[in-house]
Amino acid sequence: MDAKQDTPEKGVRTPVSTRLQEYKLTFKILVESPSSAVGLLIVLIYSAIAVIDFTYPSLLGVQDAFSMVPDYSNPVPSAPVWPIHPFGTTFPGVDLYQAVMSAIRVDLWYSLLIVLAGAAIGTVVGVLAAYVGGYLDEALMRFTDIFLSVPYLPFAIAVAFVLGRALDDVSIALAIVWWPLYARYAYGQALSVKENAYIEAAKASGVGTLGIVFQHVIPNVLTPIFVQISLDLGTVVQVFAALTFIGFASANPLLPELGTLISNGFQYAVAAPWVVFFPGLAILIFAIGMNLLGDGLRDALDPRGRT
Amino acid sequence: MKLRYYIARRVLLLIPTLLGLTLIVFIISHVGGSARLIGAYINIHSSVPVVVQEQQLMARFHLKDPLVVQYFYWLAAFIQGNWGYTQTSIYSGTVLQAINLFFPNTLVLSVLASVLTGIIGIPLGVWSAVRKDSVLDQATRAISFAGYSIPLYWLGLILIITFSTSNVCSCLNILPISGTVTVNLISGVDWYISGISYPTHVLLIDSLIHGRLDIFGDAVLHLILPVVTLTYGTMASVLRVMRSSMQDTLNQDYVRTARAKGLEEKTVINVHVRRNALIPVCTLLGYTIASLLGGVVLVEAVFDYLGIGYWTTQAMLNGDVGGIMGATVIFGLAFIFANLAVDVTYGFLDPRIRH
Amino acid sequence: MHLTQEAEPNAVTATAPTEPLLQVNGLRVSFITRAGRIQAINDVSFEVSAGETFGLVGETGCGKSQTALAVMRLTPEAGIIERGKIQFAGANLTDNIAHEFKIVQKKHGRVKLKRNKAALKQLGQKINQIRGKDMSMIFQEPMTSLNPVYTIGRQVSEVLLRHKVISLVDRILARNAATKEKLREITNAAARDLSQAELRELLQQAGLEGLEDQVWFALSRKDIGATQKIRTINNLSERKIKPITFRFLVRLKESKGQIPGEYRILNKIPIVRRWLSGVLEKEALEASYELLSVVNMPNAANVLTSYPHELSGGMRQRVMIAMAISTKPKLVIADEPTSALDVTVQAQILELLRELKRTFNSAILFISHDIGVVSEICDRVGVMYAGNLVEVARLDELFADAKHPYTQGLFASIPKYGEKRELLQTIEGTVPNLINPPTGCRFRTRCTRAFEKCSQPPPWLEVEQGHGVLCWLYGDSEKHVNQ
Repeated sequence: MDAKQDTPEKGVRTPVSTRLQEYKLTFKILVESPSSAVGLLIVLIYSAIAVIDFTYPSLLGVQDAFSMVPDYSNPVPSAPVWPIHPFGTTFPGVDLYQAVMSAIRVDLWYSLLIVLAGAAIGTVVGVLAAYVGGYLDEALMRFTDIFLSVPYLPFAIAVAFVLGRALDDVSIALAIVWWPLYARYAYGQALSVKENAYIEAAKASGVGTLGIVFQHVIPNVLTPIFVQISLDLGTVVQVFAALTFIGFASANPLLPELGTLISNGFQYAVAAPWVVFFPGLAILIFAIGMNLLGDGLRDALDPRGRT
Repeated sequence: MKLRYYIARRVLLLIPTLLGLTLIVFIISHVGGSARLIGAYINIHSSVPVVVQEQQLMARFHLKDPLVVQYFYWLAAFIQGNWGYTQTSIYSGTVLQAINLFFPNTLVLSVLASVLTGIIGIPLGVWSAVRKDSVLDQATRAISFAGYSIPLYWLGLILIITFSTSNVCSCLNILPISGTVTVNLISGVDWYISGISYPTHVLLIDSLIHGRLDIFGDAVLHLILPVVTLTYGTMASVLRVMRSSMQDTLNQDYVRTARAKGLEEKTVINVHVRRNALIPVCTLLGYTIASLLGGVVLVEAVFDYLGIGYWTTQAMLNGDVGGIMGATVIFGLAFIFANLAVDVTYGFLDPRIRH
Repeated sequence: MHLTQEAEPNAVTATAPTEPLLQVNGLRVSFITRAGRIQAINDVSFEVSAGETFGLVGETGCGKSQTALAVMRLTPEAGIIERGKIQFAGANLTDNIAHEFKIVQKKHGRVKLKRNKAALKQLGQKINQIRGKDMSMIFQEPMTSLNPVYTIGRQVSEVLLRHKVISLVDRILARNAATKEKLREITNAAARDLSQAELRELLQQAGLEGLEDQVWFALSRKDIGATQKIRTINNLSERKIKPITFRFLVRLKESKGQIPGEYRILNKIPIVRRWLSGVLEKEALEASYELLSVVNMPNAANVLTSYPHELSGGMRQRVMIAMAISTKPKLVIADEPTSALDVTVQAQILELLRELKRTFNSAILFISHDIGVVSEICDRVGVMYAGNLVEVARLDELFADAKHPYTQGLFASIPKYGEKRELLQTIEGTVPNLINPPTGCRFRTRCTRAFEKCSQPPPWLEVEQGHGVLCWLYGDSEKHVNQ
């Protein structure tokens, strides 16, 4: 009897896993950790709120998803009363709960746009600069650096100011302010991807520069960029609300938006704390959720933790 | 290369960066035509009628010529110190003068917050990483996490609400919740006019110069909440980066070598790990400072603290172009010089970068 | 190095001449990972005698590096020493391993490792008196093993300042006490050939033992002539210190390297502290220069003020070696010191190690995957496979008469000059997964001579004097080496 035939599975190395298995492993690690599971949950809840508010607002108890409903007969903010006004009311007589629910949708929508736009532009610029190198690299990076010489909040204020001070202008301003950060980040990532063997292989098989950039470099840079996006989303929501708090507002003064709500309630804050408490809390919880998720994603993708 | 050559090179690189800043300001001010630029340079207190001023400005800045030419004329005026005029509810006059009056207060706030961030954030980060997963480490992480998730102005508001007279309990009514100084205390003082103190424009110093310790104490009290708010927001990210950087460094081979040399663990951490861990923190310091400067705007707005940030928000609400331009310039300058300091520190910490 | 009495903590006691310097018994090391528990080292036992060079050879993943790290108690975070005894020069390095960690079962079958901080602190206090001093290590990757932000001079001095403060003090004091007259005998003798032992005699007579290293260094320099050497030696006596420095150093020596009581308060003042440590640091830097020269570092003076990234791989490895030998350790562990270097540098480093072996007579534990390299420097060799030590023998014995099928396979696979073959000889199969290793002998899945008994853990058998094998082929004795 040949002992070699005995349990041949024992002692044989496990095969290398496929991409799908990698994704599954990422997800598994993600939900194993309680903090990132909570983060994921929060983000999902917020997304659900946003979607429902857009499609069936009455499900959430929201009368008008695109405008706050004022009650001029009772303009002064009143305390929370269950179940009519679970969050109380704010000036001018608007039900705070409904306002916050819709505001979540508005903020999420704008923030997503800003981050995606910034990330898209920045990634392409950064990757091109890193991959092509030479004069293009210098030119693009110098250009990016100019944008980075002003801190982002004052810069956004200035740009939004000259653009017109409406919410859309704020978004554009923030996208303009945000893309250089992605350009820098993608640049670094692309530099290390550039050294990989499969790039040489693609070059050798005759793929053009733009082809390599879009088929090989960008996809491999996407994973850390994606993590960065999830981390940034929390920040951008905060910054966006900060700008509206300072005074930028929509053409429609009754458009529900978290920063606007806090700004409206500023005068009443001391006497009627709920007016600023709930909108801010909504921002805070979302930021926490997004940050937990982003951190969790980053840890899950870290090769050291995956063994 | 030696540290001094590195510093010299960095200082020289300032010039193109500064030029870049002026370019940005110029471009922003020209969005939507040159009318805005003219608006920034109109002096409403001048005896010269506005229409005449407009014509003078058109000529002076060559506003009919191509953009590039305009840039140079504008830049010339800029270097000579003509930064336009600002007219807001808190001050009306030249932009340069406004900055002169408001910047010192902001400086005090920012410097205090930065120093506190460094003193608390870095040791806490080291300590938290070394005692990984201990109860205190987890508490630190939680607090730090809240710090960079929280909207700064909301935190300020919550603090105001908590410390104001009517809420929670009057036992907490110990800190003033807004402004730079109590009105009663300061009225009748001749070196304090419409929110600005003379001669240094920093209330803390001026009150000492004039021998009014009571005002000094009061000013200090007024600083507490704003500084705490700003510090908390900034410290949170420093703490987090420091901790994660420490963890990365602890896994490095040279730490193993240090242990193999028989050095005490304390020495290994303080001599070999910490300095290397500070390097990535330094890299991110640029972004942290940007956050700080942005946070200043929010904190000053919430606490009615008379500084550049407050002036910025007022300018925005009043449609004051000169103010916005001026604010962008000063924030940019502050940021650029802060980054210079960071680069120098980086060069000091990491000899590899000097080559 | 010094005949002056040096304060030695009791961790390391004198060993009887017959007792081996390093004894490893039944060592078992595992790694707790997400995928499972990796049984990296399985019941390994061996001995290294004083002055002997013992080679540990095996392929990647066989556990040789981890064995070395375990001896130094530098096992990485995820690893634990489950069982075993490591005895070095009379000190038991594993007396408390049972309390050092705890394995906690969590849900989904996951396990978490908890460390006992108090036990680890205790271990630290004991082992930090030994590590770097009596037992030192040279690592495989010179590129990353040096701290990038400190100069070479500082990193080498660090070891001396930690462990050899008294020696540094002796050097300074001896120079202070020396005069041209006292050195006359030596300078006269320097004209002819002088052995280190003779030098020591002369210095002892003059009461200047602390000068030994400095004089010997001057004498062994190849870049200056005889007259220059004499002048250098005489110059040593010119370097005097101020009376306050002298007082401080004498007191420091008396308190065995700790800051003397009366200086403790002064030491709190930054300027004073700088000055006090500055005296020692300067001396340590000089000693470092001597060490760098000993390891044949080109342009040693420049290297002292350089940073690691300015040096080549070979130079960095020389720095590592300098640090390792600076305290004249009893045992030097070299973990693949030449694997990251190219062949010519490899040869130089090996030659250096051989020379150092002759000069200092330290024992060396030499880890390598390259049996050719091992054969250049080792007296005895141990072969490892999949976490087990499968064979140990004297070098010539192993080459002449390898007993274990794996060792035989290894030798057979080396192409021999003059031999004509179509295909290289290999060992069929691959190294087993250490999370789920084969039961019994871990080599049996690839062994051409395996039989049914091999599914039982094989015994360790002394086939001849000093030649042992872990294999069922050589008898039935139940003499296992477990504790």
